[in-house]
Amino acid sequence: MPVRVQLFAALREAAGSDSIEIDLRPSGDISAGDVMRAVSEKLPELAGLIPACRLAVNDRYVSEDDAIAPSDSLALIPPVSGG
Amino acid sequence: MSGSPPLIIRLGEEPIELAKLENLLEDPDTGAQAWFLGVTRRKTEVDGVTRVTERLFYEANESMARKQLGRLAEDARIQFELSKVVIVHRLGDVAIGEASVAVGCSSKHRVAAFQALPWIMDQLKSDVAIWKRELYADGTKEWVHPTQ
Repeated sequence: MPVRVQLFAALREAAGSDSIEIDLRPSGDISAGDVMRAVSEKLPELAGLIPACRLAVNDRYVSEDDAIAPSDSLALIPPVSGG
Repeated sequence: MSGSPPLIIRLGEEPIELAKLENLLEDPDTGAQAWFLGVTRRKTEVDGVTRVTERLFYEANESMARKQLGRLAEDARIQFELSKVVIVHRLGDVAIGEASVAVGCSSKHRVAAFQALPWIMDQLKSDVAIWKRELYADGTKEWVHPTQ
């Protein structure tokens, strides 16, 4: 299934876009880890930063094993630096 | 409680003016009001090298950051038995010496208000979806993504 992942800060600049679309396997459960691996494969220039990133689903951090639904809003969150 | 609501979260490009925020903590049943201001610093030492910052730029995942800050303020209010919590974070360009973040809280006694501020800032800096980009005096730009 195609899913769109929002990108921010260094990820956004490296990708040249504030989101990317990735296509995950059409059947079976899709996990947050699958999404992160797919982003790494599609944008190898981001691969170095991705292991330090967290995936947010519907504005909440999830763990790698958590399942993703087609209607979920996904964002890849690089290490934060507010304050 | 009285006056303003107990939790106030703001995220935006307007400069942070503490004088305009102070009344948000007013509550005749509290005896302590405490504020923390995070201010853009000119010099940063990295690996023994001093870098001079020209200004900072802040970006957020706004919908997520607002929800996170709201939960953070509520968690702090419960944990430290605060009356009011105000969190304001600036976005966009922030000049040297200007505040990028203001956190305020009020409580019956001073200890709770003193203790809540570092806790709120630690949570904000580790989890809230906001990022800063340094613009150094030599013209280079660099996103800050702490990995430790």
